[in-house]
Amino acid sequence: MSIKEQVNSILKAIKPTKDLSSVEDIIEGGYLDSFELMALIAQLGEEFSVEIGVDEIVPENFNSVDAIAAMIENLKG
Amino acid sequence: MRADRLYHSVRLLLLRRPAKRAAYLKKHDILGAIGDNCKWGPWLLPLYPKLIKLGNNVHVHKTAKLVTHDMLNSFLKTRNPNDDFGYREKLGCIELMDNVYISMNVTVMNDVRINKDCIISAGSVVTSDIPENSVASGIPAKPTGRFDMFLALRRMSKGQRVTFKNQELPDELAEEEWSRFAKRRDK
Repeated sequence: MSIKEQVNSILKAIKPTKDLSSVEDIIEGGYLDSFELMALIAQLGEEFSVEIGVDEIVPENFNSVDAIAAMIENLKG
Repeated sequence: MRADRLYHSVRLLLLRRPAKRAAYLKKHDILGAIGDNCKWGPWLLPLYPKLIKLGNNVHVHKTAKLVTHDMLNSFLKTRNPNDDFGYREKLGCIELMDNVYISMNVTVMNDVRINKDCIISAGSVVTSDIPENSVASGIPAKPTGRFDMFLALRRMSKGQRVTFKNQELPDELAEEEWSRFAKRRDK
């Protein structure tokens, strides 16, 4: 499974009422609240064995599945 | 209920703002300690308030409960009237350190310290100490995230926040919220 597919699957578990796979403004559009984002970060960290730091918490890293996947790839080095 | 507890509870009820209620507790030296910039929501004063200490900037929601004792001794005495064991009321302290937020319907049991920079999510029951820099939730409450991370996430999603005065929600804001509500759902 690709990183994007894994990210999609985590997002589906956190937000089952909305398909976020093609949404480009997850943060600005208010699709996830702070508690859902905390759950997302915890699960991304667990799934990909990466530590997402406070410096990574910017909308550009979370606005779309592509952006989240790119951030994970960067963190994995 | 003891007369002084009833008196203070009525006085707290008559003060509408949580900041004023906290100021009342401080002025009358009712808690074990209370720091600056606290907000105290509950109008019913917990029993044995001297067993409660609040640091600076501690906010307690009006529906939260801080439980400094249990009444099992009374129940057990009635259950075992001929028992000469001498059941005693169990007491315990509650310490909420600096920058702690206690959300709605949270219960904090006795012998608990919530360390600085913590948010306790709605409906949680705190039965043991919560470490510094935590967002904790559940029954029993356990850390589910970091406070500094939560702060960063709140800052990141600041565009979602709205401000208005005196809890009077303008119609256009209500409509905006309903439109956001629908947007978050496919059906």
